Amino acid sequence: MSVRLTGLSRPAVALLAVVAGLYGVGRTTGSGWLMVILSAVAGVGVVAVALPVLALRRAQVEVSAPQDGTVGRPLELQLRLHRAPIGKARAVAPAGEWFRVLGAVDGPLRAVPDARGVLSRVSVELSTATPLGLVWAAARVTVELEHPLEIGPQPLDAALPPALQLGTDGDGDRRRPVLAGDLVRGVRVYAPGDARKLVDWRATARAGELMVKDLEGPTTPSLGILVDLRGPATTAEQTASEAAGLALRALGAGLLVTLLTVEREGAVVGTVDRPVEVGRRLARAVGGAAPPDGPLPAGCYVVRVGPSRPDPVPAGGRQP
Amino acid sequence: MLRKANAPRPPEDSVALRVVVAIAVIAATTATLAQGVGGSGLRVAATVGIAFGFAFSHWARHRDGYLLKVGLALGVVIAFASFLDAVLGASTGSLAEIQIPLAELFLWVQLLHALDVPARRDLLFSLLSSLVLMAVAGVLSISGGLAVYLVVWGVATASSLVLAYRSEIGDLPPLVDVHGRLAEQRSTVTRPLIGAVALVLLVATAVFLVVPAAGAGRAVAFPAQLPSRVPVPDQGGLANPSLGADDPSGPGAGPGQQRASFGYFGFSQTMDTSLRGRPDDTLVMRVKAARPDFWRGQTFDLWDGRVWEQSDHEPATRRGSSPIELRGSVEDRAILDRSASVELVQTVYVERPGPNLIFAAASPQSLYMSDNAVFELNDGTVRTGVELSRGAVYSVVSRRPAVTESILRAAGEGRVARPGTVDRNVADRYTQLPEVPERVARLARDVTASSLTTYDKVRALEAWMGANTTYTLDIPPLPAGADAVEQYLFVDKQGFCEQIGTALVVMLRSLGVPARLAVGYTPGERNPFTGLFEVRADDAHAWAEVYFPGVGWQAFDPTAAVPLAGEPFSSSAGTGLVSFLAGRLPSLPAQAPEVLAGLGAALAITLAGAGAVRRRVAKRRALAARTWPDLFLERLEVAGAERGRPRRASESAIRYSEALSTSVLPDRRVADLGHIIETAAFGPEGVEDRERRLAESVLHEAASASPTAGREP
Amino acid sequence: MTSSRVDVAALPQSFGAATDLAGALTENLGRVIRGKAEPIRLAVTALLSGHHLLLEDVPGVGKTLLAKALARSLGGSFGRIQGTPDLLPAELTGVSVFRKASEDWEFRPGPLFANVVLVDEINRATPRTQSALLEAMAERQVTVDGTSWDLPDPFFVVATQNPVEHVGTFPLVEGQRDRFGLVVEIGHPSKAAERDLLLGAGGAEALQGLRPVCEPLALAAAVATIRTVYCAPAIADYIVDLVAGTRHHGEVVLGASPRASLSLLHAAKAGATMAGRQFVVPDDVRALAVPALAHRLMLRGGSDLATASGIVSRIVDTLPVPRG
Repeated sequence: MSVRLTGLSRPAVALLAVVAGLYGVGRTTGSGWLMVILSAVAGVGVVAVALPVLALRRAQVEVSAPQDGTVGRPLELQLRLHRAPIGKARAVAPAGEWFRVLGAVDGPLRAVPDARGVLSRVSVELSTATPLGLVWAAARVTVELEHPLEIGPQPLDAALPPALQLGTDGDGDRRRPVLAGDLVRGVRVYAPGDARKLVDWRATARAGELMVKDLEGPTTPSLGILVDLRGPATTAEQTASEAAGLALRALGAGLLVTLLTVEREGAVVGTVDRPVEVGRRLARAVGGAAPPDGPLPAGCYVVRVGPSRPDPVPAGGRQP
Repeated sequence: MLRKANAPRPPEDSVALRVVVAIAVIAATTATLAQGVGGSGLRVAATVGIAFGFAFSHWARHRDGYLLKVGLALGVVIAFASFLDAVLGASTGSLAEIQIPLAELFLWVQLLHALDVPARRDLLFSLLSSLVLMAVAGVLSISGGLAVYLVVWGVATASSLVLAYRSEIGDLPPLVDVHGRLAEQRSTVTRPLIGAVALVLLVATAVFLVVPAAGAGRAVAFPAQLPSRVPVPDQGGLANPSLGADDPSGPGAGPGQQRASFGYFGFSQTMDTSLRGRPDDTLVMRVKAARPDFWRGQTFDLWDGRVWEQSDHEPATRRGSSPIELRGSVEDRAILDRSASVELVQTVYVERPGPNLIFAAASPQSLYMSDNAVFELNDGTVRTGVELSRGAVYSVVSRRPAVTESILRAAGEGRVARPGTVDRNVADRYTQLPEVPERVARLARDVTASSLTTYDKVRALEAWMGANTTYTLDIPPLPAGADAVEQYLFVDKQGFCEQIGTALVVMLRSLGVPARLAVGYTPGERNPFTGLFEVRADDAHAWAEVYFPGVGWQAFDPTAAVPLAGEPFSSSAGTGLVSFLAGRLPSLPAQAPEVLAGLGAALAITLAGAGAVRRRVAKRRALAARTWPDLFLERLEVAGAERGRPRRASESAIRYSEALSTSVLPDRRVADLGHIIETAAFGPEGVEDRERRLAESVLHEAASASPTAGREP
Repeated sequence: MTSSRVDVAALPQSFGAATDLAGALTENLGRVIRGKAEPIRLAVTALLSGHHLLLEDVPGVGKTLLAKALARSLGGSFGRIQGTPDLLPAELTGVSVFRKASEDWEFRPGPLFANVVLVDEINRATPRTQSALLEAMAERQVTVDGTSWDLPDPFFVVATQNPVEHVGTFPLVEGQRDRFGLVVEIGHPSKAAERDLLLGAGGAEALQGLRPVCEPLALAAAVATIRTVYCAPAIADYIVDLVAGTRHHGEVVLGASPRASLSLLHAAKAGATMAGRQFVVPDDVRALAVPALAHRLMLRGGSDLATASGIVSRIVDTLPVPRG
């Protein structure tokens, strides 16, 4: 951990000016007591410079980070300090505000990431001017993370495509989509055990006995999101945020969501079933190449999010 | 930048910080006041006013006091106006004259500023101005009494800095831990404060020992003052009230008048070497000088075997005004005109009424005094026209040719001065001798037989005396009719400075070397804090001066062979610190003002009282809030801990009591105590008094049955 | 089968009866499951707290046996549901059948309509079916074709789940496991117990010989009584702190919910009653913290009951106990 002096407090600067003046006065008037006072001030100066540096060298800092975060939302780095001086600490990457530290500490250090991406290391800054508060020293600690910190984009609220606008049924943790994807295939005779609502009354009237609708199997509708991050950085961030908003909305509506992105190692196609995973996938996404267009599960509705929106028909997918 | 300076600063809430800053400021102001700044009105206003000012600032810290600021600005203007008035009205424009009014101005500014210190930054600037005030006190102070104020101020300042820093850090938001509680413990202030103060003291001492002494450069200020102008009865003559009945100037003292304990008979128009008795160690004066030197008062040139006398009875008047220019003796002037010289500026602060002599290193050229006329003898020594009593101050600039041993050796050897030259006149005058005893003259010749130069002769004589006589203050009286030198060299073989110096002068004169006896003071002990040489009455001294043609008068002191006070003088500020401190018992100076003592006592009592009251209230409140199960559990915990089994924070009372009953308090009933505690704590109706008493008695019995384990390591 | 809600307030509330009932149940179960005092205790606690029980363990250690023994001890009706991938929600709830004779639809209730319902291998049923079950557990009623039918009172679901298999399973996610009051791992029997089993003691034969120890109504009364056990504010604070601790832990992505606090409180009250106490003490809470909270935590890198249990026990060990 490298310790450096960061600056003088304002009273310290004034003190230096006064001391310079007094030294001049001392030399001209030849006052012995003034030399005593100036020696004491020199002692204060040495202590004020040396002790913060020594105190920081003594300190032991441990930092651990969560595995994911979102742009603009505070995340907490776990900070553990042993033998730390009285001072302040803040997260540097991702950035956060100063928090006070009184001695040993084991607590969360709040940071608000401001950029999407994957961080393999975080850094924390510890600053002190103990005990006199005249000269500030700071030390920056950088920690390599065992699990990289994936910071997802700030989701922009997005509307689902009309074909997938689904209602909700009941309350609880997940909304269950009404099975709007079911198609009526035909009618058949009522068999004991069939649900009453399946009765097709018109057919029954025509046939004279109970007839029920014959349905396609229920399918959970799925949405595929092609994320195209090519182009200038601001556009790419906007795209990522839109994709995040759309994916979250879809997840909330109970759809199966597949993200098609490009990561550093290549194209990635995969389902996401929790908001955390949406953030992670989009954190890792980069704009190096065109996003892949498959493979997608059967019956998947595809949306492309990116700088331009041509609508190619991907293999295995279908258009509304 | 401008915006930042005017931005509203959050008010400071910490009372402790305010109190400590107030103490520092009051210490600095009382230190300045103790140096004689300001009248009694200012004294009262300063101490009371500053304390009140800080209290008022604390009360008014949330208010925006425009009216107050305007009032304070007006106050500063008035103070500055009165300062200008005092300065312009003063007679001279010397720096020394400005010091006191300047100090008064600073005091008023500090007092007014104390009323408007709402924020932490204001408090710190107050602290800074107290540093300036303390420096002012330091400049004005000439005694060691400032130490007390300095210590109080130093500790208060260090505490303020520590508290201000804590307050600044406290403004930041805290880290909040797992349970939503603050992830920090309340850390003490005392330990880091003591550590910081100790370290500062250590570093300061190291710096103090190394930094160059003040005033080693060119001096700018020549302080001079006379508290009273009582003219000497005999203008041009010598007056020494400290000699009592022996005062040469006066019939004023009655026959029964005692000689003051600090009076030295050498400061008189004649010096009778048969007189015994030395002055005591009263502090008579302080001298500020860059180097130590003998502070010479006068010289004697006529010897009659027992008594020294001066031949010059009509000193010349020298007039002038800051400075009075002196001419010096003829020979001094001649030499100084020709060769390079070394200058020494001295300021003398008189502590005790003494002779009206100007004590200065040889030879004085300019004199700064608050009087316009002095009397200069033809040997270059000076008498004043007024009595020099306590509080008198004068400054002297002395010049002396730069001299080394080789120069002295080479001085005017073998040349016989021609008549009419300065050297010849000096030789004639200062080789005057009465009938010298044969033994003495022979001794002088024998000892210096092998010496080639005058310098070597002097050294040889010194060496002989050092080897063959003893320096002691206790010598037998001089028999009537005996020659003082013969008595000293051959009969007593012991003597002190008068005998030794006289013997050297007489022997040198017998060899034809011009020499005279000088009287004055040895440099005295250097006070490393004030930087002044403290001259005591027993530093009064007599020594020999020898004339070297072309070089001038050079002092020789054979008693240098005998240990004298004084170590080789180096020019760092802390020279002599260790010996100075070792030689002193820490004693409070006699001039500690009542204000400081009273203030200190009052503050201590208030703080102790407030602290005790607060603690008692908090304890009572806490005690009232605690329930019986809480208290009883605590007693159980204490009993367990004393026997080596403390309770873990996550261990329930039931478990704990069961554990105790099987380990350190082996009593089956102890296991039930936990149940009782938890029933009392968490049950809907608690536990009846009867059961409580029962539980307490069970614990008491179990505890007395099993001994404590002693303190855990 | 009793299908109406019982008016609990009208039943005699006897604390001693509740304690006795708990003791009798425990003893009864002990005849069937040998050497597993702790899982039995937890099962009875879950029953008495009015929340449902999830038995999570490897196959063959007696999960089904325990559930059956519980059902027999209570003397009520027993419904059994085997989780398979083709299980439809209608098979749980029941269907309306058209009766030609009366020209009307008749509701045939499904296996959910029983006092004790064993759902074996719930993780093999599809999420849709799981949702139907969980909703029924929460609301104690079933809506079929627009009509709501109340489930019997008492209604106690014992679900089992094999945590090791992953192929072809739909493991309950944390939000679903939150609906269970306690999660208990039975564990392999001790050597002595397994030997006893082989030699004929305990096991399915003992099950045949079990007699009921109470009526369902008595159980309902006991559950209601237990809800009235006194809980001091300090204990409530302790429970809240515990649960908050699980939320703020570094490893935990999603901690326990307020529903968890409530269920822990009820379980603690049941524990107090089983110990014969009419008020809750911290030890009751501590003993039940892991079974009540561990399954509700969502951890980084997958939720593992062992890790979660470790985290909860650590929190329990470090949180200071209230002193009253």
